[in-house]
Amino acid sequence: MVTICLAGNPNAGKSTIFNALTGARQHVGNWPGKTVEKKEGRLWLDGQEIAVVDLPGAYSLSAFSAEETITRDFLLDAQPDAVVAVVDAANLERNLYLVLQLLEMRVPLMIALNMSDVAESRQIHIHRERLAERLGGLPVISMIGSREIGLDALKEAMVQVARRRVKAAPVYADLGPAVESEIAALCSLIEADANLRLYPARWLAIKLLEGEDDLGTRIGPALAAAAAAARDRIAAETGEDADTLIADARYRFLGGIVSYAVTRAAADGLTFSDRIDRVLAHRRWGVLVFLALMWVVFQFTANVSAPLLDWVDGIIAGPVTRWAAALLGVVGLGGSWVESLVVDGIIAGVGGVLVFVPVLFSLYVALAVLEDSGYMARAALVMDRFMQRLGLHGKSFLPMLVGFGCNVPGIYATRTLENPDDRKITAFLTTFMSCGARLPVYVVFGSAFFGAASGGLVFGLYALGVGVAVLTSLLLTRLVFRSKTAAPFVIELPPYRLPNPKTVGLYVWSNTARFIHNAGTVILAASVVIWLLLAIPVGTGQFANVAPGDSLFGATSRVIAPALAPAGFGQWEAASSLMAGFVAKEVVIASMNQVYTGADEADEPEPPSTLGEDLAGIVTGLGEAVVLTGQEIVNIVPRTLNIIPGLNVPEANFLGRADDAGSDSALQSALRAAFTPLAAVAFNVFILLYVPCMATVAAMRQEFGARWMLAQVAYTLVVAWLAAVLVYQGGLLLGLG
Amino acid sequence: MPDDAHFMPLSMVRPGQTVELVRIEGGHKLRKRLADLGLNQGVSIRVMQGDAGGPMILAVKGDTRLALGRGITHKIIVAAPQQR
Repeated sequence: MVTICLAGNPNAGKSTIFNALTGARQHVGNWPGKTVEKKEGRLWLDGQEIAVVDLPGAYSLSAFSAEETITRDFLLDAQPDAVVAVVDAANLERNLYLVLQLLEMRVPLMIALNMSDVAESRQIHIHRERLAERLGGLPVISMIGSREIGLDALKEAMVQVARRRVKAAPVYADLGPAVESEIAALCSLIEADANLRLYPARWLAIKLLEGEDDLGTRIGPALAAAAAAARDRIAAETGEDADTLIADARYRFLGGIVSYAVTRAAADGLTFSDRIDRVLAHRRWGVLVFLALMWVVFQFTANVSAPLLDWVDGIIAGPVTRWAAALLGVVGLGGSWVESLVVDGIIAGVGGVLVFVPVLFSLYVALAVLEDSGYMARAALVMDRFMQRLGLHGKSFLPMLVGFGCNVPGIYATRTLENPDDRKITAFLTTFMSCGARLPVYVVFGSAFFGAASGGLVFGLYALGVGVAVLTSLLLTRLVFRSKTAAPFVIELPPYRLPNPKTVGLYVWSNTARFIHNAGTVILAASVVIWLLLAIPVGTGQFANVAPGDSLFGATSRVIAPALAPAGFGQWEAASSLMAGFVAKEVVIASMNQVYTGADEADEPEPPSTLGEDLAGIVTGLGEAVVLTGQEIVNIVPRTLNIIPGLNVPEANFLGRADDAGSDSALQSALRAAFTPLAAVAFNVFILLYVPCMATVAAMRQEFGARWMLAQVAYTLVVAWLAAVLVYQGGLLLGLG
Repeated sequence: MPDDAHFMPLSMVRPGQTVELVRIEGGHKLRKRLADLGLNQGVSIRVMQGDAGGPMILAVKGDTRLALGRGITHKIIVAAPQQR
């Protein structure tokens, strides 16, 4: 199959063009052996199917970061049929630096001059044909990826390049006499080596002179020694290092191209983004804005999604359960262990998790908007000062922020850090960032115990996670990694832009889909296993008809439970849900549903209803949920203002309902019977801090080895226990029990 | 080239001023990384924001905006262009 790949700087809009080309026909996975996201899609073009690969964002084809190594190795080894260099038209010169290296590599290249609208609005006019002329006659396509303008021209050029119908002349920057003579000498060595036949000789020679040490496995020791000698000669002759000379010559060459192909109004004015950054990147205002944004994000996830959550919950607990029971009754399995497995095990377990799709959906929308608008880089910037004090730097902040969505990509996102020690510490801290899967537990407990004030509990827990991470970081940087030198903080600030709906949509979709996929696999399996453990009697009772306390699950939990007593939740039920939560936090609520409510089914006899009534109920329920969602969005304003003491702005109430204190689930009333409010808080603290899930444990092992993984597991268990005990016992001392 | 007396670390440059990069006092990796991002020898740097202690925001090559931690800005030696 024809393979075409997209290469470009981070923030050049590669993903937007990739999404426009492939739409939903894309697959997100990992690069083999690496943990950098690999996006692949399919496209029908000119009567044939084409594979499109979105390479990770790279500033250069060096091996500085995992992203750049992947990009370089893919171009060298996979030999794609065409390479689309996605270039930010409003930041042309720096973006062409990568293009020049692609040209040196002699890959079949074309240029997508993206965001040409932004360039035009800044009165940067790029003469496309002049640029193409200086780039050896490559196709140069003007595009606005976000509006899919130029997409057809791009596809057309892709076909032309892939079929080798484009004759492009080689383009090289003249690197100066000292460097060029060494390149010529190295090139003849490379060309004489049969093992290196596949590599573009000039490109390889330049890489060697730049001192790329990652090429060791590809080249022999003789060539490496020749390159080192050549570098020494250049330094002796010119008084400059070869890499400096090469970078200067390249930029000089690009400067010439840009001044020939670009006309622009007097530069050096402040751009729109610069003006925004006066506030958002300001050392004080920036931090305030950051905290305010985080507050809105939490409001958004905790409250805005609540009506939709209630709606989904109603469907699963009501009609779906009734329909399943009725169906099993028809086939003669009513009242059997099969009904118990399906209704108490699978529907209660998986359903209890699916209920939280709206919560995660809103969280992912928030994260995608922050990322795609360009704000994430500013968050790293304003937090840098703070992170430096912890012995880390601003970039460590991004994995942690991603960790609020899910710890697993957060751990993988540490790959953007250059220093291995920074990576280890950051990954270690990331697991204390409260992920989306932990949120449902807080929400259930919060609304059961604290009603409308549950947002405070949620915010407090998130803040506690950050606090524990801060202390842990100080501990690690002061005691464990004392010799660590702070890695330099360098980050590009992309211009602000309106988030692209398609980019946000696909991000939200792929992350939510992964969650639903988990619900269908891991959580389904865990639910069945937990149901089985609950069904197997210890001592008295019979299979599938035993009180949870007499089951195998109950027996195991009883062994653990006393250790949790000092934290106020020494009952076996609590211990059992923590055990289940080791698999995945998504399972905690599912397990609680089974343990706390599974035993007493017949407590709320519901009136029988017809299928038609059920369906009508679902539809009107959705309508109400949508209205209430709007109400919650509006209510972020009064809730935020009401933080200020003395203010009491009334909240909107579209449907004229009283507070729905009465309408809570069976689980929540069971929880109120089992926990004191203080014990509930301590329990949530434990949930926040202990081992997040099997997937993070696996990720830690993959990235940092078994020892670091075990250290992480042990540390989180100890910290979770200590913190929960501290909260409970401290609370008792203060008379809060 | 001006004499050394006119050189100063980038960290001393005030917001609004434009300077020229003379050299980077760091290892090969740091030099190369900064060059990949647009900070090569001789490039003109406009300091957009930055105050004592915190990171700096720079404009290079017209439209590239980079944020640099205080630690690196000490290692980047610059000169005022009018003195050259």
